[in-house]
Amino acid sequence: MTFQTGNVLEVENLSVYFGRLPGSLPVVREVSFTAVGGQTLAVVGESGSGKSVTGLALLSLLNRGLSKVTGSGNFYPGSGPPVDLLHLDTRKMRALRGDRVAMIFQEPMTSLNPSLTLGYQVGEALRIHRGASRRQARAEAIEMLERVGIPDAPRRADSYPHEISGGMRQRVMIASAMISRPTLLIADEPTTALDVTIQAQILDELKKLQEEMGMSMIFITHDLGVVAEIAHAVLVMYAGQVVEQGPVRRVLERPRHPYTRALLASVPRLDRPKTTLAAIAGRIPDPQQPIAGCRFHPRCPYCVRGLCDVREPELDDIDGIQSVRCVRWPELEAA
Amino acid sequence: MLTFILRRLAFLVPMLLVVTFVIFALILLLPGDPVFAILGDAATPAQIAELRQKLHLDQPIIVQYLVWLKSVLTGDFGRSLRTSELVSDMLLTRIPVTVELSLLSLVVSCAVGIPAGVIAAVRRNQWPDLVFSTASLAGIAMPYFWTGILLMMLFSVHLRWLPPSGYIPLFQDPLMSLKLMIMPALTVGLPLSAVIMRQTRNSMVQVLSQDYIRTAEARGVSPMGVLFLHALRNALIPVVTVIGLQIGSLIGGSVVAETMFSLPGLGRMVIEGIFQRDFAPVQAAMLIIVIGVLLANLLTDLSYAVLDKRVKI
Repeated sequence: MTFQTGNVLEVENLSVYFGRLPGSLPVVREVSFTAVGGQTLAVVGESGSGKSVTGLALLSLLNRGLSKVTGSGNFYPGSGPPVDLLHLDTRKMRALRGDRVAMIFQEPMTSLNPSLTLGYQVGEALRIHRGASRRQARAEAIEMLERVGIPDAPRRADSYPHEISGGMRQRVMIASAMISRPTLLIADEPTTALDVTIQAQILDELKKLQEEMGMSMIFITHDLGVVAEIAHAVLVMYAGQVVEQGPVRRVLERPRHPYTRALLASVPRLDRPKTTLAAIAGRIPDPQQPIAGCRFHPRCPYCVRGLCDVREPELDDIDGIQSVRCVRWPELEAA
Repeated sequence: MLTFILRRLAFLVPMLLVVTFVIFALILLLPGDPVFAILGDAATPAQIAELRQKLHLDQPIIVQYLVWLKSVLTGDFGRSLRTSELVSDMLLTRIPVTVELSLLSLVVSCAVGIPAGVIAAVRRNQWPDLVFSTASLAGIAMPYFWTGILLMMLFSVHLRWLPPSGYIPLFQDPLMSLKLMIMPALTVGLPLSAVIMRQTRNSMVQVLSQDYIRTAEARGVSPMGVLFLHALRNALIPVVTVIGLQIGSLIGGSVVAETMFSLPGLGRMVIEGIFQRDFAPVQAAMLIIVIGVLLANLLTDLSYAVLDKRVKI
């Protein structure tokens, strides 16, 4: 399999609108990022920040009748010329899905079909995209199930989802996504529904597979602990916008945006047992409600009246690798 | 699995006892006296008393029931009071008619209801959904006898495609037999197809919004594959329940259809028997119908094990 090291996906100005009404505001606003072969980009944000919608939009999995997607997303499928994921006809998109680009979802309990065997569901992509026979698909599915750590894989291939645990189901989901050795894997909160020990195992599994196959991964999560564990680069989203992005160590160690700081402050830490957990006051705004100035200003502790609620900040490049969307970042940095 | 079937079959026995007793008692509540029906108004009191004794009609109901039950258990359903025909012989000729009609009706209802439901679900809140949902409402609302008359008017009177009524056994002349069965099967099957369509639509809509459908799409499964391989399998589980529950009304429809289209089935046997105060055939036919319904329910339960992988029998 091709081991890609360059850019696998270059997304530019991705916006998503829900509802066909002319005045509707986007739920995802001009998001741009790059996913690199063999690396993981974490997309971080709280519920409603547009991170899942971004993932779904890349694979055209949003209801076409109810949503509009603009921007471009050049994808380099390993061999052949790049294709723009956001302007691909249905048939070509279907040929990519589950083959060159795979996706796994948050809910392992409901993401597997209850009336199909695990072996079938894992091997299905091969039957669709590679024309594999039933027997071939099953054999490869068993091999893949073994690789993701399913004990007694040949027997499990004939089991149904209700017969295995949530952690096992997520392994099966991973196996079904990885069986075609995709160039890009979009993982939408794959560990959120699992308890912590299983979560760590699943993350290890994903990292191992990524190293073996050299795929690029977009890892959508709200958990900064997970980000530190798995990501190479981070994209912090708030209310549909990218508010900060950069290499993982930089963003976690020197967060520039007040929102990223607040997110980090709200992570429980074992080494500082006495401090109370910080919460971010307020809630994420309704995307259909227009907000003047910075979209975070109503919740921001550093908000300055007459500045933050008036001027809409740009995503400023700090030093070529990290960028932040805050008009006050140099001041806050100095303080 | 086998123990489940055996246990369910064993349960049928007390159920049948209760049901047969109720049938027996209800028939005695019917106005009219079989003795007068047989002997006519001019009979002498001595003749009446003699016949009453012969038919055990002078005994208490419970005794009459037990006498009947005893003979039924030995395979003796008695004779028709009118024609002196053995009731067991009547059953042998009539059961196949009703079975043929019921199965064809079931085929009609599934062949119409399931595809219509799938289409309505896929195009929900668009015109196909509106058309099918409205049609199914009409289908549920129309009484059997009316649907039957409309079909007769259309296919027999106006178009002259089909003979209006009659029956030929399937093995004697399959084509003609089916031709004669088309309208009765439509009469019974269409209202049931309306119920099946609604259930299929609703469970399909629900299944199509499930996460695993999105997973299948993310895997590159074609729209048809998503619909039939991933969705329909799961959506059919509640549909089967509904079909099982509707077996009773299927039989009820058969009674009407058999009468309208002159089919010599169990339903007409019941109707004729009631009008002629000829109770032995009524009781026997009812017994067979009840057994049929109970067995159909058993089959429904067994089909869950095949359809729903979470059900273990």
